Amino acid sequence: MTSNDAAAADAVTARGRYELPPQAGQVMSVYTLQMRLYAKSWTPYLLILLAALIPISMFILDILSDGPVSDILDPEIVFVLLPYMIALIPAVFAGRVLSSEFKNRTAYLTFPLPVTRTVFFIGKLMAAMTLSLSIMLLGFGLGIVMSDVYGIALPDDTAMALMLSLFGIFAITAMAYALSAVFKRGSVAATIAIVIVLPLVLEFILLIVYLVTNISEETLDGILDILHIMPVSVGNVALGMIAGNGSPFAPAAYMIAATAWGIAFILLGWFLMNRKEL
Amino acid sequence: MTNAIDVTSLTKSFGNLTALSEVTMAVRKGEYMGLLGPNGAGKSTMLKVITGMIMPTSGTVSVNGIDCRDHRRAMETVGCVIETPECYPNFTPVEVLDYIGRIRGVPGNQISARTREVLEEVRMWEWRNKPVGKFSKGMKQRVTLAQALMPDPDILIMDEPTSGLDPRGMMEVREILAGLKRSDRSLLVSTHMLNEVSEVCDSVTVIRKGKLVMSGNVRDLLRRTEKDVTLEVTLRRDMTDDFMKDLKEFENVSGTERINNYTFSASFAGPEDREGLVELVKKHGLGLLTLNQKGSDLESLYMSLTGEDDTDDIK
Repeated sequence: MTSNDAAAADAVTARGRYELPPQAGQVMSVYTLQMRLYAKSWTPYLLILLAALIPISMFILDILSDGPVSDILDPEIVFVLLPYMIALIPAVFAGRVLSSEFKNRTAYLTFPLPVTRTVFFIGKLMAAMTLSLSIMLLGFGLGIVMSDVYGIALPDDTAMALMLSLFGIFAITAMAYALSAVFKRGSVAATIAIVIVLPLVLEFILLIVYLVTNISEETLDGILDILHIMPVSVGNVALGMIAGNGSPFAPAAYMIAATAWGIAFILLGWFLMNRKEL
Repeated sequence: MTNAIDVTSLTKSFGNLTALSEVTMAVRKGEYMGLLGPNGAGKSTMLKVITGMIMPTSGTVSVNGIDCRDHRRAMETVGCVIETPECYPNFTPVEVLDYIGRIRGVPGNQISARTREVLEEVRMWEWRNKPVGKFSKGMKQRVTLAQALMPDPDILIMDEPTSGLDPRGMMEVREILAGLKRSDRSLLVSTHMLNEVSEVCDSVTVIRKGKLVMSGNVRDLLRRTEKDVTLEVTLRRDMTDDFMKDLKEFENVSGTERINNYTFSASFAGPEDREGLVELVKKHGLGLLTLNQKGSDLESLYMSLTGEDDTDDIK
């Protein structure tokens, strides 16, 4: 037993009133806190509305159109918001979890408590993941149900597209969460910028490189393919699979890339938060 | 016997700025200590290091004998209010305390009762179901005080708990703090107000520009500030030479200055006799308009402790 262990035992037995719960229990307390905070804010309700936008649109279209909706719609249109949902949902749920704690000074309430920052980090991350994944599942589920109701045939790859979307959500949520440990504000904008603008910027740069250098078209395609394996492209790939176009790479490659991306950002965020001085 | 808080050779630098330099101090078990110093002295930095919000550059800090780098265990018996934290504005005091209670190990079936106890202790029970965001600063401060008390801590650490409050709020918080005293509880409270220390604490540590100036009993400190008090008096009528002559011979007066025909200052080398001075003015039929102590107690204290005028620092 170290001197710290002995002193800690003395301190608690001398007082003998409350004993700290295990760290897993503290993680659950932080998780519950964050879920309650979500429940009291407007963002989950807005994003549920976003997830339900396509089914609602289909329903309205059904009322307004003369013939059957399945003649007008194909699966790609039913899931057209998928890439934006993969960008927006994590950005809103995870992109300001930590930054708001620092900006609103609520971190001053929790950080002096007998809770490690790792516990705080994991609890909040779990809540952001829960909500992001749940709303993605809800949106996807509603799309499938509405397709079934209106007789729109979905390709066999739909289940795999759902899996890809969930991995994409995991990766982008982890990134948004890590950014929220760095920026006091603007992490939502930064996430959206990275997910939506970054691929366009990279492709534009590559196009210029292609035009001013002698690289072959095959090399350019190869580089573009590698870029497309990043989680920022997962939404488009999943949408392509729902449209029956398959995917440029094996789905497992996207899942591995998304997992690696997510874990890397979780570690980065954890490292930054542990170093943060208030 | 282990001290409640031990700080040894603590140094904290932010780049080129040294906020704390080789500070050594201890809070004994059961002791109420005031950490006194002007703004920028390093008080908040010291409390943040103790509570693990920032890491020391060098030196050690232990709470109940537990090194503060083991944050979880060191803070187990500590309740803190550091830099006026914000509670979640959409939460009610009951919800805030539910979170704090669970994370600190108050059993689920005792949380409601304990919540009631601490909210009554800080006089916030009737506001228990209103969102914290709608509260005044004083009420928010009392909620943060309640969260610090939730685990029934052995050690309380408070960073300027009356900062930004109106006089009534200040008085209420001081009363609450004084009412928390018990033999096995220690308090470390930072403030720049000497009267706060004298009302609540048994001992005091004074820091200035990141360095320890003195540490000791509050009564000793107050005795030191009683020396060299200067009173500034404004009269209704012109001063007479006879009055000035009597004033110079007045008990403990070490010096006088005639500022204008109506105003003078008198310095005292020992306890000042204000009532006697008022009587003297009355005896000469001059009429008293105002009588003020020149500078605050804290200014006098710093002058007494450091032998230099730190008025600029204090402002």
